[in-house]
Parts: sequence; C-alpha cells; structure tokens
Amino acid sequence: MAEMTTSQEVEFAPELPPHGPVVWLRENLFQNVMSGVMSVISVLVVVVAVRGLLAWMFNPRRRWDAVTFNMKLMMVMAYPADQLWRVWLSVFVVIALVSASLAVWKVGGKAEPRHVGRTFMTIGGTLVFIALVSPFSTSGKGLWAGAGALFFIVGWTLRTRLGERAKKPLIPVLGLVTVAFGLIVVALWTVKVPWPLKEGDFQIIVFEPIAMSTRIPWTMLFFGGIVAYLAVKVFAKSRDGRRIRASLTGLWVLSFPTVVFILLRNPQVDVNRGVTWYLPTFIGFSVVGWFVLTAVSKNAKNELGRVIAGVLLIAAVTSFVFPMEFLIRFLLMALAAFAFLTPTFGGVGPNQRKLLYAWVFSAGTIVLSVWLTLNASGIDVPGESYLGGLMLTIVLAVLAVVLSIPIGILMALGRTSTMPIFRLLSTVYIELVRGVPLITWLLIAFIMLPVAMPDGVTLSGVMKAVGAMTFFNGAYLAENIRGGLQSISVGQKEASRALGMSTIQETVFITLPQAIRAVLPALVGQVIATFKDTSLVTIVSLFDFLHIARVVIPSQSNPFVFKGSITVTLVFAAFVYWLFTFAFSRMSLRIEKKLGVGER
Amino acid sequence: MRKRLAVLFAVLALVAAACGSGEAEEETTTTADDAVAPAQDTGGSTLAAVQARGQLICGVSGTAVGFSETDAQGNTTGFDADFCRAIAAAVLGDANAVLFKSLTSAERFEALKNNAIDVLVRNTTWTQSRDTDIGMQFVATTYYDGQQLMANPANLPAINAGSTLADIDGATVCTNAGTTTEKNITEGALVNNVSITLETVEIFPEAMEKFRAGSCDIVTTDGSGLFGERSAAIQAGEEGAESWVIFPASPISKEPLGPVVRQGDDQWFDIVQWTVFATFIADEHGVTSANVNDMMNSTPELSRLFGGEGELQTSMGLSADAFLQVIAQVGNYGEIFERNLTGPLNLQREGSFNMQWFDGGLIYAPPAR
Amino acid sequence: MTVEVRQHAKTPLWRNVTVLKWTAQIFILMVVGGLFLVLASTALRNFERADVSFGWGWLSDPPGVQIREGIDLHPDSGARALLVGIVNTFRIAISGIVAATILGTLLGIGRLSSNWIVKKISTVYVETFRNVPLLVLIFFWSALAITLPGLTEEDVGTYFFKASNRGFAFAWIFPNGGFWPWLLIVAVGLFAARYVARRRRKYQDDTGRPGHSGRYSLATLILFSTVGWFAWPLLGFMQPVFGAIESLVDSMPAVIIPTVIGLGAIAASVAWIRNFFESRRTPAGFGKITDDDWFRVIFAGVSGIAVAYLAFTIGGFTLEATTGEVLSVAELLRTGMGNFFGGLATSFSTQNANQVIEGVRSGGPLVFERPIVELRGSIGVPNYGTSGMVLTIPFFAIWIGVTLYAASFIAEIVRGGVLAVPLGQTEAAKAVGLKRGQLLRMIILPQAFRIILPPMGNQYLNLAKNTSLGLAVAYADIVAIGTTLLNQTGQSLPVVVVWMSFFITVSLSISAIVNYYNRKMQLVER
Repeated sequence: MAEMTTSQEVEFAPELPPHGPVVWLRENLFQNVMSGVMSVISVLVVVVAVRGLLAWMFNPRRRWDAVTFNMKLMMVMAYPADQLWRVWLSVFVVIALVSASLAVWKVGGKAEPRHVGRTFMTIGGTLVFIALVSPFSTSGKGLWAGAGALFFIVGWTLRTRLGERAKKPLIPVLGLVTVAFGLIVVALWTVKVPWPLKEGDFQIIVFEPIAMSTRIPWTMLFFGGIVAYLAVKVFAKSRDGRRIRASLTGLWVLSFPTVVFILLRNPQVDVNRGVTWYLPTFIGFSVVGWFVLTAVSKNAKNELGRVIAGVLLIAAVTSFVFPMEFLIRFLLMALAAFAFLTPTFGGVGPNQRKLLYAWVFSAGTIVLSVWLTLNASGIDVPGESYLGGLMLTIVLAVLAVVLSIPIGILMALGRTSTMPIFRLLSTVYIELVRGVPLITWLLIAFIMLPVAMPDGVTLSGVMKAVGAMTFFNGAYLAENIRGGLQSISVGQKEASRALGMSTIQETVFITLPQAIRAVLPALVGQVIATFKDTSLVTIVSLFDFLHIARVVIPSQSNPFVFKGSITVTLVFAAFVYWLFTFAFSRMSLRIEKKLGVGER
Repeated sequence: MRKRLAVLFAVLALVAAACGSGEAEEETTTTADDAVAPAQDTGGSTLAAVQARGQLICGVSGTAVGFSETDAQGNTTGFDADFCRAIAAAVLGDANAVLFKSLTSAERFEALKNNAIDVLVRNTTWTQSRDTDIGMQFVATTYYDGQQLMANPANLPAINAGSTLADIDGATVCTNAGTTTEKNITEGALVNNVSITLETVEIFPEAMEKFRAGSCDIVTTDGSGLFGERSAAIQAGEEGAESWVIFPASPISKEPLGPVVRQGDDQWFDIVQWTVFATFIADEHGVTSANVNDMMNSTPELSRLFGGEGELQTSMGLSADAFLQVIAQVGNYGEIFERNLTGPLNLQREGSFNMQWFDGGLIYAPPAR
Repeated sequence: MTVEVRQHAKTPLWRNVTVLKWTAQIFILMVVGGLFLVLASTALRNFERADVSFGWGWLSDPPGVQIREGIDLHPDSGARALLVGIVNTFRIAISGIVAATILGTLLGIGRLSSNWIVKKISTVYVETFRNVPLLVLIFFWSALAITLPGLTEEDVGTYFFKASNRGFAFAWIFPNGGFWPWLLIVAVGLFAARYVARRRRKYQDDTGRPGHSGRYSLATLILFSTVGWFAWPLLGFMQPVFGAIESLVDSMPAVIIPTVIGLGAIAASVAWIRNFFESRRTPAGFGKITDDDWFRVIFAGVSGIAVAYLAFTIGGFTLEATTGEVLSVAELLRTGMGNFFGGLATSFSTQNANQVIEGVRSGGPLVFERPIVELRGSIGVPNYGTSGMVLTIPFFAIWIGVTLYAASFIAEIVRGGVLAVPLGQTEAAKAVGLKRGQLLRMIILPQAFRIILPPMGNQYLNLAKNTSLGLAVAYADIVAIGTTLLNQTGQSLPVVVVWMSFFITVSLSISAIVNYYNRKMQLVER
C-alpha cells in the first residue's frame, strides 16, 4: 500500500537525474582511473586502520580498568569524596545555563527528516562497516551489526516515509541532542566497566556496573537540564527578550567566579571581619565615590573634573608604594578609572545616575570578591591546590583566556597607537613572547619567577602556570585583535571624529567592537589553542588531566598496580581533549554562522 | 585638547591599573587560592614560619613507586611521605598537617632555595656538589640505596645476576634525565671501557615502558626503584617479570637518600635531623607506634627522647614530647620501611645497609642524651 | 554686531599635547623599567642569599653527560652540548616543515576533491588531529612506536627500510668528500640556469616561437652538476686560500672583533639617521618631522651606541673553564671563525676524495647508504649500525607529532586559499582554453599562494617552536639539553638566557623570510 503511494508520487514528480548506488559510486568514487585507484587505496587504508584500532582497543590485555578505577582522580584529583556534590552542583550550574541559553537564544532550529535520516544511515553504515572489518567474535560482530542495522532502518524510514511526504514534518535538533544525551544516561545504568580486583597475589579484571555515585548524578543532571530548559522557555515567553538575554549573559559571566571561588572552594567566611572592616569600607567608598563622581560629572567639561580625577589617580598610584590593604588600592584604582571615564560614559540626567549605580555595584563586587577570596578554603585536600585533574585543566584554560583579554586589547591598541614608546613596548612584548615557546615560558615561570618575588610572596604552581599562560596568550590575542583593528576602514574613524567623539569613545564604541567582531573566528581558535596548551603543565609536574593520565596512574602501586597502562590512559585523555575542543569548535561555528561574522 | 588630555590620563590609569592589579592579584590569591601562607622564614626561622602556618610544606616526587606516590584518592603515600609526616608530627604535633608539593627533579632544588618548601624529601642523593655548591644542606641518610641495572633475559640472554658493568657493551640503557644516575652510568661506561647507547626519558615510568617493549635493553636507577618496579610488575601479572635480572650485586654507585634543608637555618636542620634519628633510636630499641606509650620510660635514653625526663627537645624549639608524637603517629624507622617498601613492594630490609648497625647495617643514630 | 577676534594665547606647558604625550610615555617607560629593576634586584638578592653565583664557565666545562643522538654524542663542553641540541632542533624543524607542507597541501586539496572517500578521509583527519593537544599526540606516537617488534639476531643484514622498536632506519644520501666544492659548482650552475632561462624567455617574446625556457635551464643545471661531479677536484686550489685566511684570522688580535662590530653598529646608525633626514628633505627644505620621526632617530642613535657598548663589554668578558683556561668571548669568536675557515679548507681538500665509508658504495660528492642491523658490543645486542639514516623513537615521535599536527592546520590554510580564489578566474581560464593542469598551475595556485603565505609562515613558526616539546619524550633538543645542563650545574639564569636568545633569533629569522616573500608576492595596489 505504502509502496503504491510512493510510486504514484514518483510518477508525478519531475524527471530526476538517474540515481542509485551504482550511479553514486560512479559519480563520487570512480570518475576516472586515477580517482578509482585512490578510492581503492583509501578504502584499504581505512579498513586496516579501523581494524587495527579496534583490535587494539578491545584486546583483553588493555588495562582499561586503569581509567575506570582512577576516574575520580582524573576528573577532580584529591577533591574530598564527601564534598563531591559541589562539583556536581557546578556541573549542574553549567548545564542549566547551557539549557537556559538554548531556550532563550533559540539555537538549534529544525532539521529536515531527509537530513536526519541520512545522518542515521551514516551512523548505521559505519557500525555495520565496523562489524564487518572488526576482529570480534561472531556474537560481538552480530551485536555491532544489529545496532548498525537498527540505526540504518530508522534512518531509512525517516528518509523515505517521512522525508518524501508532501508536507514534511520537521525534527527539532535539540530533541535529537536530548535523545542522544538520554541514551548515554541509559548506557550508564546498563553498561559494565572493567574494574581491578585482587586475587591472592595477583590482580584480575572483572566487569562491574558503573558506580552509583556516577550514574545517579548524571541522571539528575539530565532531567535537571530538561527542566531548566522548559522552565526558562515558559518564563521567557511573556517577557522582554533583551532583558532576559542580558541577565543570562551576566549569569554566564558570574558563573565562573561563583563556581571556582565560592562553590568549589567553600570559603570559611569570617563574619566578624566582614562587619568590622569590609562593610564599613564598602559604605565609605560608595558614599565618597558618589559625591566625587557627582562632582566630576557636573564638572565634566571643566578643568576641575580633570584635576579631581588626576588627584585620584595619583593617590591610587602612590597607594602601591605605601603598605596598605589591597582592597583600598583596588578601590582607589577603580574610583580613579570611573572618574576618568565620566566624560565618556557619564554626563547629566539618567546617564549620570547610571554611572553612579555602576560605581556602587562595582565597589560592592570588588569588596565582596576580595572578602571571599581572602577567606580560607573550607575544602581540605592533600595537595597544593583544591583543583586537579580535568577540573584544573578547565580552570587553567578559562583563567588564561579571561585574564589575557585585557592584556591583548591593551597591547593591540598600543601596537597600533601613534605614540612611539607605547608602540615600542607593545611590539617588544608581543614579539618577545610569541618568539619563545610556551614550554620555555612555563619553565621560566617555575624556575626563575619565584626567585624574583619579594619576601613574603610565594606563588602556587597553579598561579605560576596561569601567569605564564596568560602572558603567552595575551601576545597572541593582541596580534589577532590588531588584525581586526587594521581591517577597519579609515572612514569609520573619520565619521566618529566628525560626530565629535573623543579618542576613548571612538575606540570603545566604534573601533574595538568592529575589530573584535571581525576577528571572532581567530579569537575562538585561540581559545581552543589555549585549552590544548594547558596540557603542557604536565612537564612542570602540575597535576592536570594529562599529568594524571601519563605519570600518576602508571606509577601507582597501592592498592592496584597499573604498569603498562600508559597508552590506554593516553588514548582516553586524547579522547576527552578531542571531545571538548571538537564540541567547542562546532559550537563556535554555529554561533559564527548565526552572527554572520568572519565574512569580510 | 581637553579630550586628548583626558585620553592621556585614561591610558595612564589603565596601564597603571593593569600593573597594579597584576601585582595585587598575585598577592591576594596566594593566601586565597591555596589558603597557605608562604613557606617564608619569619626572620630566617623556618620553624617559626611552619608553626605560624600550622602546616609543613614538604617537597616530594609524587610519582616514585614506594617512596612518594599518589593514590586513587589523591593522597601522597610512601617512605618519603612518611618522613614528611614525622617532621610535621614533631613540629606541629599532627602528622597530617603536611602539604605535599610534587616537584620534578629539575625544580626541586630551586623550590627549596626559593622558600617554596620547608624541607625536601624527594629521594635525593647526597653528593658533595649538592651539599656544598648550591645553598642547601643534607640532613641524614634515611635510605642507603645504590644504582643498579635491570635486564630482561628474554631479550638479553647474556646477562645474569652475576653480570657487571663490563658486560653491557653494546646495550641500550634507559634512565631518567637530570639525575645522578645519568652521570653515574656515563662515567661507569667510560671507566669500564664499554660503549653503550644512553636513552634518557623525562620520567621513570616511561623508561619502564620502553624496557617492557624491548626498546631499551637495560634500565638503570636506584636499586630500590628497580626492585619496586619488578615486584609491581609481578603483582600485575606481567609475563616474565619474575625473571628480570637486577645486577650487579654490589651497586655501581652509592646513593644515600635523605631529606634536604636550606643552608643557614641550624635550628631547622637540627629538628629535621633529630626527627630522623628519633625514628632510628626507636627502631633500635624496638619501640613501635603500638607500644611507645608503655615503653617511653623503660630506659633513661628513651625517657629523655620521648620527653618523660628532661627537656632535651625544648632547646630546638620543640615541645618535650615531640618525638613521642612522631613514633605514636607515624612509627619507627622499621615500621615506615615495612609499611611502604616491604609490604607493598616486597623490598627486603634484611641484608641491606638499611639494617641497624648491630645487624650489619648502617642505620646508626647518635645517643639521645 | 561685532566680530570678536579671539587671541590665541600660547598654550601653557602643562596643556601642551606634545609635552603631555611624551611625559606619559616616559612615565610608563619608567614604570616598566622600574618593575624590571625591582624584579631583577630581588632575584639577585635572593640568589646571593642562597649562595648561588651565575657565570658562563659551564659553557666550557665538560657536561659529563652522554647525548642520545646528534652530531656529537659525547660533547666535551657545555657549549658543544648546546650546539648538538640546536642542530637537533633544526633537524626536526626543517624536516617537519617539509613533511607538513607536503602532507597538508595534499590534505587541503583532498578536502576539495570530488572523490567522496578522499574528501571524507581528509576531513576526518583534519578534525581529529587539530582537536587533540600536540603533547598528547607526541606521547601517543612514542608509546605506539615502542610496541613495534624488536630486533633479533635473525634481523642482521642490510636493508632499504627497517622499522623496529629501536627506531626507523632507511637508505639515504649523504655528503661525501668533495661535497662542498661540488655544491659550489651546482650553485654557479643555478645562476647559469637562470641566465639561460631569461635568454630563452626573451627569445620567445621576441620571436613568438616557444622558448622552452624550463627545459633549457634544467639542462644547464644538469650539465653543471654532472661536470662538477667529476671536476670538483679542480677547485682544490681553494684549500690553501682558505688555509691562509684561517691563519690570518688566528693571528689577528681578538680586540679587532668587538671593534669592528662596535664601529659597524655606530656607522650603521649614523648612516640610517642621515638617510632618514635625506628622505625627509623636500625641495622646500626639511619636511615636517613628527614625534614619531624624532623617536626613530633617537632610538637608532641609542641602539647603535648600545650595541657598540655591549660588543666591548661582552667581548672583553672572560670565561673561565675548570681546566684553568681563560678565554674572552672575543677570543672564542676568533677561534670559531678560524675553525670555520679551517673546516672550509679541509672540505675543499682533494685528499678527502678517497674517503670511503666501510661497506658502502662510494665515490663522488654524494654517497647512497643503506642501513645495516648488526650485533653490537661484546654481548651482541642487535641494533642498527652507523650507516644509513636512523631515526630514534623520540625523533620519530616528535617529528610525526608536529608533522601530523601542523599538517591539519596547513590543510585548512590551503583549502581556504584555494577557495578564496574567485570563481571568475577559473571560468575565465576555462574560456581561454586552459587545460585542468594548466588552470591549477598557472591561475589557481599562484593566487592561492599569495593568500596562504602569511598564515603558512605562522604555522612554520609554530612548528619550529613546537619542537621544544621534544623535552617531554627526552628528544635531545635545545630545551632538553638546556634542562639537563641546568640540572647538572644549577645555572638556571644563563640557560634561560640561551633559550630565549635562540628562539627569538629563530622566530625573527623565519618571520623576516616570510615577510620578505610576502612583500615580493603581494600585488602592488594603488
């Protein structure tokens, strides 16, 4: 019956060029002799490579139990087990934010069943191919081939039954992603993983289900993500989209410090000191700043405003000469910056009020963050830092990227500036840093930097690594941003001048946004490179993800020995790195397309 | 004009802010991120700094089988790690008040010199140049080791337990870079007039990996490390690991391993040294963590050592019962040895130089009086 | 209505833009300089407190270590060991750049291929390799390579190619006695070929008949190479010339070197300043000289004097070896120059013609060698012999790592470059009747090349710097050897200085070369 309708449809359809597997083969693999030879060679290479890889992976001699047994070590290092809920909560924060963003920005869209079907068929075909060339036992082959066939049939159905209907039902991409995520969660409950066991003097490998402490949180995260998505969707329906997007962006910005400095650190807050010192400081600076900024913005066009700002700046700079609380120095610095930016962002009326609110908010943020970071960590771990494993890798990457952005922008502006000494200094910095490999900078930071620190200051390994990576990354960012700055036509500058903008206004409102937008793809590439570069800290013996995989696990002897497992752990590490960078590059590609950037 | 002026100042402000905040960040995060005050001497006294901090910062390897390794929970365990704990027990009364800092062999001395650590217990060989040259001081020998070589007879049938350095002509030898072993084997080959290919790797597990694969004919490092690796391989059920030959019978070098402190702080030197000696003396008299409270007054010497009589320890700035805490919380030398080396790795103390002096070994502490 | 005439008052000093601009700049310069001074003085004080003194004696001291591979396995001085490391770094960097360019170009074109499976394989390759950290790749290849089968006694023999867990050995061409004179003749041949090509092209332009310039110039080059192969001993007369230069250099006082360098630097800066002013001279007198120009002039002058000063201070700086030998840097330089000419003299000597490496077909300036597997030493360990090209496992790991990694980026650059050539160019070329090969060779690639050159240069730079990861698999490059020397001697600061100067020199050279070609290739716009 169904076939009949199909054939009927075909009858009325316009004349299609001939298609079918043979035609496809001729057109895509055997256009000419050369192409045919290359195809045959390529197929042989693929068969050998896949077969070799599978044979290696599923060899019973591979110690995959080294990975499963040390999974917690690889992820969070020595983070105490009874506090692990903090880590899970952090992951939840990220997943909830991702879900909320997906709901608000309406990323994803819908896909035609034809395309989805093709993807399914590709997956199914790959699985069947693997089953055919694999060195598995017959039952193993059957399992893989069966799974492949299932995928293939689903894909085929989607393609022919739904895809060729007159009114094609569209499949939401997010739904597919959810299903994939769900399948992984189901796998957590069903799959058994290798686990080491002592039998007399020897170790054996048994297969055990994944621990409850892993699968329950993931299941909860899965449903939590769905709930967050739906909730935000309902919430956002009747509200101003711009405001929601802005607050979500704010949450993203806040999430990192919240997770790293509050959630994961669990600071032991000293309330007494907060009331006697931090609160009065905050109030004092807010009030004083309020009056100063009001005065400055009233006199924005006068000499007096400049003089006040100048005096503030001098006070802020000299505060670094005298011993005093860092908080005061920070606040003075921030106030001076605000005073100088008043002519640019302030003025009178609502603008002035906005500036004053912004000042109070900034002062509050500074006081609060200094207060929280100066409290001792409540997480007691045996080691230098509460960060380790994959957690450390991610934090290193994020910190290096975030901290290097201001350096990159400043140095790019310096290098394109008309003032020769600024230009010379930034050029020297950029060329010097880029000329020397990161590993050398890391060695310098670990061997030389501590010696150059004054008495009373020691840098932890994480800080040294972050410092070196920020220093290094800043130079690369600067070069990228400089490319963007140079791509902006002179007309833009002239136009902003004609509107009476100051140099700062021109830079902040006209040049920089366009420059950064123009080089966004390059900046994303730099972020990915930084993430990969974090692996270098293993050479200076920081316990990051790679270090644990490469050094720590192969040198364990208690309670289990994982000698000769180094290749296994390395492959696992490579896979995790690949997963992160690949996902990130795909995501950035999508955003780039949506924003239409990078098309100059 | 005014605009330019403002711009000028703003740039100034920005740059100054950048410089300032950079500096500030370092300092704030020092105390914040790690909740550890620097290992800085308050007026040159490491003891005062440690007591003020409430924690001992101990430099270890973190990846040396049996000596200091990282377990699946992230804790540092091992022979060296236990001596760190012993020092913490003596100084702070709490064996767990230790912060282990994993160091590569390249940065260990710099870390000590830079005050980044209080004491270095990272199977470091006591040599003349290290003791005299670069601003540090060896305290005592906790483990008498010696460099040996290991070969797999399956690949190298000519080697047996009686072989010497003269018998390795033509072999490829693996060891880790930047250690005394590298220099020893180079010199040893020169002296014996044999030609070897020396392959250095960054970390010892990699050398073992190459040895397993047959890419290296021979690996060489301290004998303890070789015995540890072999017994771990046997436990892991590796084929042929029982037949790996460790030779020559008398090591090719003397490798006395022990803690290192910074030069110039005699009080701290004394504390670390006598903590080590206390574990020796307790071992000598059979005082263990189980019976120390019963035996602490059994002889006058023990009584003095454990603070039952006199105030010997207070002259070092420690509490009188400091060494009682060491033995009670960590154990004596024999216990530390048994727990970390004999138990898991089957590394025998009997017959080695690490026996007490009256049993033919070299473990000998001056009397406590 | 009155017109108010504004009097321009003289701008007060504190509101003069020029003054303020320079005050700010000098202030920042002082802040940065001050920061450096503070850090340096703290470091010096801390070193003093720890009884550490830095010097350069370790450069001439024997390092007491054996190196796994390189031009000298038992270096007799620290400087020599560093040289081995530098050569090893270059070996990886150059061979890696060549291999990555070839592989990357193939992959980039493969991604645009009409062959489905080739396209897919190229895509999977690129997506896999550029998303995994290079360090992981290097470790992985190293771990994989040592699982190759080992060498046994049955393997003894001669091979064209042999892979084992001792490394990879293959037949290769090596320079022999007479190589350098022959190369000189070939270089002359290159110039001759260029001349011939130009003549033939002119002929084509003049007459309209095909000039076959490529064939003619190739023939010229082959002629020169062939003749040079047999005729190189004729250049033997240069041996005494170089020998004379060597003895001349050895006999000159060492102080000449810093003097020449210093005077040269000052002369160069004076010349630059004079040229600069010349270039600003207009018929109406001097053109406007901006802040920037003044800065350039001052900078040029100051750097000339600084270089001269440094040449003298460093030149007079003495190095003391533990052997008691005291040499100044200038003397070392003189010895080095002398050795260089001495080496040239030796390589031009006709006595080297009979240099025959055992077991190898020889004769002529180049020899073709095949690797052998032999039983080494008294216990007979099967291993590669000294002939042929033998790549160790660390070399292989780092080489394949950087090559595969860089190739994935180069593939993307090539693909982007080809795609960036406007479609109209292809269509126009087809309309003119060019064949597919000609289209690619004459239209697409030259234009794509211009686009891909700058990012390609960056990739080469990255590759060169990435070779420093050899440290992780203990490949004896400059960083690894530096680390070893640092461990053995404790001289951290000097070693760091050596590293930085080496890498900055290399990267500046590469970017200079790329910039030169870039300028040459760029279309002249407007």
